Amino acid sequence: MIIELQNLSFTSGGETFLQDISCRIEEGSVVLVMGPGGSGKTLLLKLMAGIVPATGGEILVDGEPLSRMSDRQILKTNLRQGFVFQDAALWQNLSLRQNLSLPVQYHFPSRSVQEINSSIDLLVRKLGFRANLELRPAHLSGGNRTTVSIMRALMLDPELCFMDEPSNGLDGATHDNLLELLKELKSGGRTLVIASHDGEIASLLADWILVLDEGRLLAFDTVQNLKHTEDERVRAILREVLDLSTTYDTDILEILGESDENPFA
Amino acid sequence: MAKIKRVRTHLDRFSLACRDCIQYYVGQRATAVNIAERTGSRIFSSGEAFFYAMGYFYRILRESFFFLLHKKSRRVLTFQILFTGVEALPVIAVISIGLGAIIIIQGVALLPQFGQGELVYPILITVITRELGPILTAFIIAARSGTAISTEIGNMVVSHEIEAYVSNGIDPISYLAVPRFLGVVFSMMLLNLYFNIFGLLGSFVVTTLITTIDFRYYVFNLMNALTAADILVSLAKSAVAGAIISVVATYYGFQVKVASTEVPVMAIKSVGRGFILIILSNAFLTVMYYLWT
Repeated sequence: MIIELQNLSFTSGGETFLQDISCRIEEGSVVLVMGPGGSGKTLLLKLMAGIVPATGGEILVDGEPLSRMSDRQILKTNLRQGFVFQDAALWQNLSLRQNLSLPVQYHFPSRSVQEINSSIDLLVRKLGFRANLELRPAHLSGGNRTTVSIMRALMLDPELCFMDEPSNGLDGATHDNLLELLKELKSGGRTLVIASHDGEIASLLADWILVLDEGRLLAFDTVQNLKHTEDERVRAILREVLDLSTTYDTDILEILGESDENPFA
Repeated sequence: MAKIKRVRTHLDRFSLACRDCIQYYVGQRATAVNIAERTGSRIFSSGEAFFYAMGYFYRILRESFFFLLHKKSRRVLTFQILFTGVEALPVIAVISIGLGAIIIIQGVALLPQFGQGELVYPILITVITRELGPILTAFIIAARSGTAISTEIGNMVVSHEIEAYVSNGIDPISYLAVPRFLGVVFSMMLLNLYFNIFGLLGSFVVTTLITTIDFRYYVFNLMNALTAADILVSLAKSAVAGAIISVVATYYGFQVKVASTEVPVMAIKSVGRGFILIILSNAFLTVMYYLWT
């Protein structure tokens, strides 16, 4: 699944939130979306996923413009992609098991309950999720809700997955499990677009980094190229963003420049 | 020199007066333009909202057809019927029995004085079956289920649950609005039937308290007064009211944008608009009934 953005912009109530964003996300690549808070990362992910319609520019999915697709076609496209929301966005009136099984039951009514439950159990094991699946989302901690949101996004085995801060609130073990799962998805040829401040995700998974600031695209390049960028603003943002992470021993810290510039040194 | 000074002063005053006049005129014109602009913009946005609502209604009708073919979210439909049709039953029963009792007491007390005692049966049919049955049921359901629907959907918008449906390839209109639409329409027709049964039987029970009346005689007279057109118009009114309640409630629920403070505002709007549309549709169908019969 190839996503291409052509001069994408989003305006609401007279205010511009995203402006003139162009890039191409190749199949099987891992793109890390970075930027300070309020730079438009979540909105960009929602626009790319077709959840929020763009007000300007174009999004091409496998060469086909999203704006010319009918609602039904967009929903079919959404079937091929998963989305992890920053606030989990779990369905509050359903149990965790129902949250996970609903998308499968809706699209593949012929699948048996046993089949669906075995898919759920597999994801539960991979992420080391321990809470009772018969509980409602309101009974869970923030980290557990994020974990369920990740599992829900992967239930339909998507070709492309958008993840908005997937490691937020996760404990150490679940974080490690998440990294393993993401690596597995990457090696399986899945495309991942991840908005995150997580240095480990950046260093271990990212092929491309997209840097946003105040709704504008500052840089979209491979990790290798961005390590040597001359752009002071990009360097400053990466330094500022990565400052929030707690990782010492990752390659991404090279982006920060010499060791004396390293905020952790 | 003094003369020139006086002339200049006069000229200055005159030019100031002219400037004030021009400013006043321009100001008035600007205000007029402003009012015209605002009125035009309001008319335009109202027209736009009307066509948007019509498009939404069409979408619900179309998706209802697909829903009946595929039956994908039967669980939501079942819960809606349970909530609207079954849980509202006690309220409907009490109101209909009370109304039937009032009509029969007034009728039995007043009509024989004019030698028109038998008119009580057509009055019961007209009031309970054709007029108040559908409209009172609709008001109860609009206040009870309409607010619940718009509040629930509004809260789902705020907590991004609607976006979660879209991201999972589930159409919120097809999954959330259509089962509610079908559930409320079906429940309204069912509740209208209950209202009639309780209203007409309740009036009989009250009649037996004040006078001796044979049950078969009572039912026979009621059946004589009841026509197929009465039943049809009553069902049509309840179906239309059910459609109005559910469409308006889901429409305003989806109108919530970002904040939870918008939820009660939209719920109030949905009830207000719902009541107006129910009364208008009821009046329209009553006129159609009299033109038809």
